[in-house]
Order: sequence, then structure tokens, then C-alpha cells
Amino acid sequence: MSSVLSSAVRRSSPRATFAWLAGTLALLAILPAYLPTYHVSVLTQILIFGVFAMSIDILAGYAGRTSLGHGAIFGTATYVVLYFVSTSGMPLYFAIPLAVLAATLVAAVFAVLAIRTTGVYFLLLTLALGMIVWGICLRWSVVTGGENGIRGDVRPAVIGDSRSFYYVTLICCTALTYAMVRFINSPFGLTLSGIRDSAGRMRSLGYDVSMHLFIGFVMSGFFAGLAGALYAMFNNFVSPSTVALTQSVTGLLMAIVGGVGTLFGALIGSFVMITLENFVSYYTQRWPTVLGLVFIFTMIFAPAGVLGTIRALRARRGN
Amino acid sequence: MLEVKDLHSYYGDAHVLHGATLEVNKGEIVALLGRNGMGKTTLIRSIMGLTPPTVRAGEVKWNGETISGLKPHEIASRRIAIVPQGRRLFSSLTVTEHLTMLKSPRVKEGWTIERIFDAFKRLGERRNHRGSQLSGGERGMLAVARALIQDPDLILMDEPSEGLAPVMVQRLEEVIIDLGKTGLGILLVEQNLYSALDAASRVYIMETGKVVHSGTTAALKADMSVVEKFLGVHG
Repeated sequence: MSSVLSSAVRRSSPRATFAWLAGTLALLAILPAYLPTYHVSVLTQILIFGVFAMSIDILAGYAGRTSLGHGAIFGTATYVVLYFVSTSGMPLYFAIPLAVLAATLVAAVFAVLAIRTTGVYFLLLTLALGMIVWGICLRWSVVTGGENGIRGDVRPAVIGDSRSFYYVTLICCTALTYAMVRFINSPFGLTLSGIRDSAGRMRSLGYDVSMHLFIGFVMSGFFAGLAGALYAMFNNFVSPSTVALTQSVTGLLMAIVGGVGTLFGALIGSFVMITLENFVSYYTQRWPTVLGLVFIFTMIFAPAGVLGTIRALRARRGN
Repeated sequence: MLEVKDLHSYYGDAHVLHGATLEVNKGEIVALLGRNGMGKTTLIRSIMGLTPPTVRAGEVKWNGETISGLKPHEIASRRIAIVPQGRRLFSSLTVTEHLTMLKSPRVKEGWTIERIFDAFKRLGERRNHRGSQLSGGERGMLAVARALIQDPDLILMDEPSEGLAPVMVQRLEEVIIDLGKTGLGILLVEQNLYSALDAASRVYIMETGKVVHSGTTAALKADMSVVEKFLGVHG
């Protein structure tokens, strides 16, 4: 995994990266004008899950801790928005910060319990914590609606149509991506990469590894919570499946398919998986099989993911 | 400044340090010599609070404050830095990232990244190279630079010349002497006797977990029988 990561973290020149990003952003800005409403909704979903997958990549790719509990953090924010807006009548601009705060607190609890473990133990502990949240959502039906979930039109009328909401999502996604890029390239973000490479080495340099991992996990949860709040407005519905293990696995697979440790790769992974899910399911009911094959193909032929492989090939050509 | 008194450290049940005692004063370069397996690295790790080993007796004082028992990050926050044995760089991070990790480029006080690149020109030229792409000498320089950027009052250097070509050892020795002139305290663990004697003003020699000789470098140079006795080197 570390060799995969080390090749995956090779970066392009800042100018080339900027050109790619500006081009992608311009494309994303003009696309809705030429797409039907359904496709605009799919694009919106890609952006929201892209942010979610990037939040997972902060931990998996940069801190070297693969979480299976992020679906619960994401879904907590979705639940809080839908509960307070549709049940309590709270204004959305109060519900969203509250939802992000709740998700961040859940992330902090997960972090306290999980940061002292690594590898498969971290994976299993976050999985167990996520299952607890799922169980609460399923059983605490007075608040969560149990299996029926919570339904409500939480999106304000001004962004009620798909295109308007898409642009709000695009702006939020761009701002959050920028914030995450700044975070992972900050002195603190670099210490997470150091911990991923060798926690013992960081300790010998005088770092409080546990505290850095805690903050990294909480920040990752904060971004997952923001994605979850956006998802509440997108979906207008939440049920236990939103906090279930499959949600965490989906986010993680997106990060892996795009390229763990590349951040932007998570957006590509989100695009690949949601596009396949939506368009392959149009032709066959066996779309999960197709997704599975894509994942197996990626693991065998491009273990560094789409973006990681592109970067590795470019680096090889450069050498 | 740094006082190590009667330190006993263990790896599990193995008693490795048997009452090591030494001092490093402000702005002083002190060499800690000894053959392989005599406890030099264990002593450095014990001072820095790194586990293993476990310190079971004795005391480490820094500017009068007892720091033994503190966590490594608490000791580092008291302006003590370490150049660990084998450099321990991060292969996926660039030279700049190694330094940025420790101090934001926005900070303009003390050892800034610009000042580091000015002092270590070669590192400036290799600023975008990853740890895995550096030569042995460059890695050694980066390990020292990484300690310096923390603006320490004391650096614990564990065999910084290990594995370097003679010309790089000489360059590193010049760097250490220059740093000593800035008022920085350095505890230099070395197997390279002549390099250590050129840089340091005082010397401790360790054998089987104990300090068996202490004195000035000049005195040691005048009487090399001690060196022959404890290090097996013929003067």
C-alpha cells in the first residue's frame, strides 16, 4: 500500500494543476445548460459524494487510516438537517451548522476511540462505531423514523429546481475542495503524511501523534458532515441506509478508484461510480456486478487509482 | 543546561544504561563516543523520552526543570531537537515539505525556510525533491535542517555522519562547528572519532551503559591512551 501511496502522491506542476482545475470547473459550470434535468441531478450527486470521498481520502490517503465509519458521520448530518427542518420547523441556515456540528462531534467520539489503533483494527473499530450509529438510527424511531426514515422538503424554494441547486452545490464543492487542499498542504496536513509514512518517526521528532490523528479525524468528519448536509438538501429524505456500512464502503471505493492520497481522485472516483450506477442500471439490473468488475479491474491493473496511475505514468515519462 | 544524572534505562528486562551521567552547557558542542552497542543511542532516546527504552531510575534536567518522564512532544516543545540515527526522513515528502511540516513559511522568526536554504545551498537546489530522491549527504543535511527549523537551544545528533562519504563528513563537521558558534548546544553521538574531536570541546566516552571517561577534547588528544583503551583506536 505504501508504494502505491508514494507513487500516488506525485504531484503535477502547480500551473498544470491550475489549468486542469480551471478547465474542469468551466466544464462543470456550462454542462447543465446542455443536459436534461436528470443528468444535472446525477452531476449534483457526483459533486456531493466527491466531497464525501475526499473527506475519507484525508484519513485514508494522507493519515494512512482507512475508516469504515464515515458513512455514519455523513448520515448524521443528513439526519440532523431533515429532523430539525421537517419535524421541528427550524430554519435551514440554523439546521446546517447544527448538523455539521453533530457530525463533527460524532467524528470526535470515533476519533477518541479509534486513533490508538492502526490497520485492520482501525478499520474494524470504525466499522463497529458506524454500526452503532446505524443501530441507533434504526431503533430510535421516535426521532429517526426508524426504517421509514424522515422525509421533508428541506431545500429552500429559491434553489428548488435542479439547476439552481446544482450551482449551489458546485460553489460549495469548489470551496470545500479548496479548503481540503489547503488543509492537506498546511504544515499540519503534512504532519498527517508524516504519520502515514511512520508514526514512530514522527514521535521521535517530537510530535504528539495521537493528537494530530485526532484533529485529522475530526477535520475529516467535519468535511463529511458538510457533504451530508448538502445531501439532505439534495435527497430530501434520509433512512438508516444513509448511515449504513454500504455508504462508508461506497465513499471508500470512490477514493480508491480515483486514487488514494490524491484528493482530486476522489472526485473522479465519485464520477466513475455514480455514472456507472445510474447509466448501467438503465440497461441491466446487474449493475452492482459491473461496479464490482470495475473495482477488481482497478485493483489489478491500476492499484494507485485513476489519478494515481495517470500521475505515475506522467512521472515515468518525465524520467 | 542539560544534566543527565545516574540514568538507568531498560529494553524489557535488559538493563542497558547503568547510571549514565553527563552535562551539556549552553552553546557547547559535546561529543559522546563509544563502540557499537555501548548505549549511546539508548541515552539519546532516553533524554528525548522515546520508548523503548524505559527509564527506571535517574533524572534528566533541562534548564533546571526535570524533563524525564515527559512525552517526546513535551520535551521537543522545550526547544530540544533530535537528528535521529539513520536520518529517518519521509520518502514521500519533498525537502520543502519536510521543513514546512515543522514551521509555516509565514513565520519569519528564527530559522526560516529561506535561511535554511541559504545555509544549505544544496538543499535549496533540491527543494522539490522527495526524501527518497536525495543522496546520503543531502539526507544528512536535511536531517540537521529539520532539527534547526524548530529553533532549538539543544540538538541531540545521533551519528549524523553515518554512511557519508569523507567529503560530506567534512562538510557536516563544518556545519556543526558553525552551529556551535551561534550559541546552540549540541550533543554529538559519533563513531567517527576524528570528526567528533574536531567539532567538540568536551568528550564523554561510554562503555556498557556507563560514562567511563569525561574531559576536554584537548586533553584527550594529548593522551590518546584513553581512546585506545575504550574505543580500540590507535592514536
